[in-house]
Amino acid sequence: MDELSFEFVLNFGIPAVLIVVAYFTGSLIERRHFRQLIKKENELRDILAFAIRRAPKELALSEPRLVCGCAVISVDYFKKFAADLRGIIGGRIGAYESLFERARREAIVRMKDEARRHGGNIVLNVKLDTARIYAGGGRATVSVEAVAYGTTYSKSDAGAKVH
Amino acid sequence: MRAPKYTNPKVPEGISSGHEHPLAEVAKSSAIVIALFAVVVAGTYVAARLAAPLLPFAWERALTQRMPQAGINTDSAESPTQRYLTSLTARVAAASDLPADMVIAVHYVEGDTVNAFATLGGHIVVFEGLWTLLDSENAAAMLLGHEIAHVKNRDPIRSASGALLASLAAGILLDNVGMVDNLVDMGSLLTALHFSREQETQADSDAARAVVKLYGHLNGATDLFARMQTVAKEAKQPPAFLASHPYLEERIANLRHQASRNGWTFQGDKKPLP
Repeated sequence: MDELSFEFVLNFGIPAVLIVVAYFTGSLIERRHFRQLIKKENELRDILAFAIRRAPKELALSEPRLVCGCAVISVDYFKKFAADLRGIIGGRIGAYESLFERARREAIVRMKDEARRHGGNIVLNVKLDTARIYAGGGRATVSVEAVAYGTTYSKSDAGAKVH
Repeated sequence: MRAPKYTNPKVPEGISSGHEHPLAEVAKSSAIVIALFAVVVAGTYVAARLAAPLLPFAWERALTQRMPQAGINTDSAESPTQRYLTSLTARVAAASDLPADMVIAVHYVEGDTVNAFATLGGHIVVFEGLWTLLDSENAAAMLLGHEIAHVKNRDPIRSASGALLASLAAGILLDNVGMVDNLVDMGSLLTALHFSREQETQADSDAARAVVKLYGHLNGATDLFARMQTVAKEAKQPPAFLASHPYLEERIANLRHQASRNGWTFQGDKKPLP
């Protein structure tokens, strides 16, 4: 009986504690991240980003340059649990939706940040990639990576003339 | 430098995520998962119990030969009681209209345990503690007839399959978190099979029929029940027999009812035990 209750604590008690702890830490971090994202996005509002491939003729004489931003965010125990439940019954995994949104937005922010450092104020042909990072076996917690990249156009001597 | 017609207006929050509070989402999906779990496990249990009698008895026997038979010592030296039990079991089995392929093996186990049970593979175990409470062959025949009827009605395989497959289903659903080993304890599964009230009543009726066939009357058949009641009242702890064979009063009443319906008499000579 003692062995059974020990096994029970091991199998259900510890994960339950981890899930509760992860919910509080995870949502705290997530709320803070979203606040930071909104702030940084506002700061970078003057850097435009578009998915169009061809540069408009106003930019023809400026210097194109590849800029890239990347963010890796870890899944927490609570999100994993919520997703596991969804894995049985199906439906929107809200816990992962916010995770990927944070990764995408952070990647775009970092890409724009790089564009600004190169003197650009527009990024064209923006593309987004996401990847999952496995930390060990199939049941291990995973992280998600989002990469945003595009072409920025910075002032060159020729561009200065156009301006 | 900026292309004037192009703008990036601020996008409202909550388009890609945040449609539902995470706790609400988890609560909702947990409720659905638990309900699904209950339906699947209960469904497996019922289906296994219904389908178990379709398993040929020879398969059930073959299965139990590879299982540890807790408390059953199959190669014990033949005591006089074991020899007597074997011959009496053969006579009761002959009167029980068993299917041709059904083989009953009775095992006498020494010790204070006041119990007797039928388990998988046609094995019947009678403990010394219960045997000493019997005061006539008629009572012994009733006891053996009852356990033989369980085997005949496939009660052990039904109970075992239900418990085994339901816990197996639970284990698969819990994704092998280590609970399967705990839920399916083979040793206790074989010795602590629980039969329903209906199964017990049916076994009593079948046993009474066999006893009437053997002796022509039911005198002594309910002696064991009466003795069990006395023992249960005197004992500090309820005897093991009560755990596996409850509802004593109800069963005596049921037997009397069966007897009057079938015209069985309680009058006749009791045969003493050797």
